[in-house]
Amino acid sequence: MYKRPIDKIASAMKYVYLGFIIFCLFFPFVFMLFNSFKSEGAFVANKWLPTFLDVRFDNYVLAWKSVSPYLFNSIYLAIVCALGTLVVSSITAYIFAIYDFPFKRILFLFILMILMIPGILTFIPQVIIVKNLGIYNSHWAIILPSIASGQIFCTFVLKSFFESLPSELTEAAKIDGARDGKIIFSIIIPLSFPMFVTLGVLQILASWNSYLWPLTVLTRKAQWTIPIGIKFLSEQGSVKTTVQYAAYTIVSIPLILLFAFTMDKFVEGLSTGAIKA
Amino acid sequence: MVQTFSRKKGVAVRCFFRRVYKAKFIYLALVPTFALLAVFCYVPFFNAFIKSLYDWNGVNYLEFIGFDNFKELFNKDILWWKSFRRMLVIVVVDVIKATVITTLNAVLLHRVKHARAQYFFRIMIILPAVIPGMVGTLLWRQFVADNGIINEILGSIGLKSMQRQWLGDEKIVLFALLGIIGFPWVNGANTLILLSGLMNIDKSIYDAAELDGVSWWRKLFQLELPLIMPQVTIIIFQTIIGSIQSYENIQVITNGGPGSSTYVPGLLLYNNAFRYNRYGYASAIGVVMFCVIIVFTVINQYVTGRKKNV
Repeated sequence: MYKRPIDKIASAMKYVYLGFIIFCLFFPFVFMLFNSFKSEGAFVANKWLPTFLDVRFDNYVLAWKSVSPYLFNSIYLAIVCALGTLVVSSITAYIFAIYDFPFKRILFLFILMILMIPGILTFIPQVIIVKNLGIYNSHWAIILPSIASGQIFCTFVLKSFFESLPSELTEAAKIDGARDGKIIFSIIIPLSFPMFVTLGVLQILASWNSYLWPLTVLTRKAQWTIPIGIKFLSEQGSVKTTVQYAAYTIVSIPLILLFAFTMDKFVEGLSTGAIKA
Repeated sequence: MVQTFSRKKGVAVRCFFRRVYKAKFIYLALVPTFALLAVFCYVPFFNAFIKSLYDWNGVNYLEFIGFDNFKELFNKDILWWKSFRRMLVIVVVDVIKATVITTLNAVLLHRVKHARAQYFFRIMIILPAVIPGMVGTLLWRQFVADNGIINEILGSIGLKSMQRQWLGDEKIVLFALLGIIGFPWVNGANTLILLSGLMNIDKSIYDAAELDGVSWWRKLFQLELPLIMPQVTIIIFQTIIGSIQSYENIQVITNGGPGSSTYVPGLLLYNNAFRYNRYGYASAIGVVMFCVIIVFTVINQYVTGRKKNV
């Protein structure tokens, strides 16, 4: 098919635009990355070009010392929150999807209503509750509320997923004499494993990025998570800019690695996560 | 007659209790869920309304003062209306960012016919989402600082007169904030949602348009946009509801300053509670914000619900 020159230009423009967007998206991180290998002197002298001859890792040694506790806290919390949320919400979702029992609809409505409550309203009372429960300043103050609020969305997604599973499978298993436990462990869980990964990734992302809640309920430095930790680090006059960049790079690595292995699940999770409404 | 009726009723009641009793393990399995919801969602929800009527320091001082918190907020607090207006500006800008720019990206991405190139762009647009948001925020805060690279670039290309104290000047700090939060305003997840909406459009519609020689802007405005409108609507409402509540980035970058020129209601709530220990007053702010948000939630339900029925 003949293409007019103007079409060719338009087609090229599209690549130029997308390339520009990608450049803007990544510029800060690339800037951070190559400057994190410089000495402070080299950074001040020329911050625009990477140094290939004089690559230094001492920034990373220093940065690792200050951010590694935050990193381990964040990894621990992300895993515990994601697993906890998945366990609680898959039980709830399975019950609401498969069984029929009195008060089913009204109980489900009670879960449904939570979606209408904005976080800004419950923020303060939640902090007070955490204080009254005596879990203020402990990691439970992160884990329990995060399961409580994270499970709602997961329950919805999993419920409709369990409902969409073909009932022939479970019925055939029942005829063969399988009990509920057997059905769950050898049919339902293997089938819904991709869904679990997607939702787990979403929960990990949420807990990885949460800032205000941990900032409010954790006052001891030893328990801080990454966002609080690096913000604190960025405000220490004694910490050199290059070391800060190294610290930022270190805390970015774990999820990038996870992303590399579960790329498709990530993409799926992010797009389902946004269709909460 | 009366007797049989009551006996029937009795049987029904017994039946009902039997069904409840049979489902006892089900209820038992639901206990963790509802215990967590009760403690961290229902109780805080009602507590927020109740405590908004009290003068409360969060610990020991608790005095019922009726609607005085609200009266003070609307009549005396000079920060409230200013921050509320500022919030409206931010919401409008956020919605524009989330619709216009996201749609543009998704449409252009969809027009990239080369499959591997499209995959590459898709991954690249989503990749920043896995870097902690705080890293981006801190980097940008540094870039627009007085000796940051934005001023350096302006200086080196001969625009010294354009150099500003981006975060120190009350007149421009809001624009600086709006500019740098999430620059270049690409939301990977939303872009993917719109992209999948575009990909679900029937190929035959495109073929028909192709045959008729429809120009690209007519294809955009009369074919693609109307067909992805449901997704755009979801994104709009989600952005509004999220944007009304969000103050995290502002707290990190300027913390309301300089002066009080970047205060938003969320930050006002946070500072009243955790800095000045005015928990009752902060709860009142929360209640007002809830009322604003619930309006959009209801409109959202109405709009998306009506779409489903058609």
